Amino acid sequence: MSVKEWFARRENQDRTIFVLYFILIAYPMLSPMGLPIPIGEPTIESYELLENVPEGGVIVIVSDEGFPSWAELGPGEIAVYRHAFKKVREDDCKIVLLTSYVVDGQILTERCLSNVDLTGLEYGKHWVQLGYIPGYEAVLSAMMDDLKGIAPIDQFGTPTKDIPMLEDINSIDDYDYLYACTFTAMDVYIRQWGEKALARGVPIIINMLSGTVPLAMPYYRAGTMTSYLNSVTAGSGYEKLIGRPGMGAALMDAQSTAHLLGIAVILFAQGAFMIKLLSKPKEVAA
Amino acid sequence: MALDWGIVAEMALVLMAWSLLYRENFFFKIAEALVIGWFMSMSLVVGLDILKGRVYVPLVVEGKWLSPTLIVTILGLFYLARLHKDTRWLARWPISLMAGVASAVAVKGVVYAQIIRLVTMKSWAAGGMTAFNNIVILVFTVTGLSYFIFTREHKGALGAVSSFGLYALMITFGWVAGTYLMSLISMSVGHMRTLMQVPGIYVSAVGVIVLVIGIIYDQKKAKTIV
Repeated sequence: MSVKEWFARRENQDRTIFVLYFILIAYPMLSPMGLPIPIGEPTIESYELLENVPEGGVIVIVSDEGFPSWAELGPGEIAVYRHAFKKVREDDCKIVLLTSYVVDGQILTERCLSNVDLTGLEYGKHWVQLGYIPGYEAVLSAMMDDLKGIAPIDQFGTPTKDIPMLEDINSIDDYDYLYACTFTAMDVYIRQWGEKALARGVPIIINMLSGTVPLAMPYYRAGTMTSYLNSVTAGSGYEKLIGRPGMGAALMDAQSTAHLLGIAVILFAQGAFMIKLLSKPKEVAA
Repeated sequence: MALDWGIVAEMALVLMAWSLLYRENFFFKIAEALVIGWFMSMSLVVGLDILKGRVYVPLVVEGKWLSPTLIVTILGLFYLARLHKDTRWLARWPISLMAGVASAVAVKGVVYAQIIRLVTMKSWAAGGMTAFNNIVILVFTVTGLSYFIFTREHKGALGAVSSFGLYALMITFGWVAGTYLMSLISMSVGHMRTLMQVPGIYVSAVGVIVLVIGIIYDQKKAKTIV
């Protein structure tokens, strides 16, 4: 079989693109190119909103990401955790962590915490983990009015009424920052938090997959969602803002080379199609 | 330095899943079954843990029988009634209750967050790109909606407007599809980083060897058939 015949088979064309793709995303990992990392306006906004949480403020983090999305949402999520715990150290803020969508979130919360320096901080005084609370949208709605009602015990089985930190934390009146990380629809959070949070001036920040950003733009423009983090792109920017370059920065080079391949493949396919189209009348004439 | 077997297993599963890009094979099927099995077992463990903390302890250990938890528990048990044909109808109660609650909760926030705020422009007097974006939103919304008017034939002015609406929809869907593809790229890039670091790189090396053996085997098999 000649190379031309081999390449004419569609599955081989696909395989060639996949091989090129893997080489292109592997190369920057072995030899970093150090391409500049752009920091988008929503990322800066998200950072500033968390930075402006007042002394003793309450930061609510809902981790609803799943394992399949970790590579994309993880960098931003870890950066937000680091920033939030920095606020705990510097401004005596309190953090409430919970998951409402799938159990993965509870496990990934632990993974995020393993990336944060917790020395000197005390569980139940500085932060609390409510774990996975089944119910998703119903949970997101109820946590605005009665947090302890939907979480009578924390992730470790301690009654929430016995946790000192939660003594004065139970509803939207007590929250200062609402953050969610999701790998599904972001409009659920807007629906359940929007009205009450915005009426009290509590910002809503959502870390989401870049595939869902177009769907979130109307909410961002309307002000229903205060700001957002666009997956790994925002994650690397956020890492830069908190001065802790990590996973995200390393991924940006590879993402850029992958996009270059995408553009090249589109141009190649369109070019080949145009050439075929233009050469057709000649064939007919012949 | 001790080998992190967790990462080795994770990366091996990633490569086994990616092997589908070459063709459907034994390794992909193992990875597929393992992931589903793991997720089910993990859900079961967490579910049992929740049942213990939120149902067993308050009802049995603390003896708080007269509480809403009891009603919820009974309704939950009705789901299991599906297992017998004579009691199957009982499962409709919790299902209908859940569907009703889910719809009610969703609708509650829709009016303000997804209707009123979205149709309320912040300012029409904005300059620069904001003004341009406002115009784009207005034009795309009106023309996009006009495409779905079926009570009149799409002729004349309506025809022109709805044709433009069709292009507006295509541009939007293209954008959504493009960013979704970007999402998928980000996911694979994230895994590639771990695959290029120790111990993931050892797994990558084994993966490449297995792939080469697979290709050679396929080539020989194809020749034999010919």
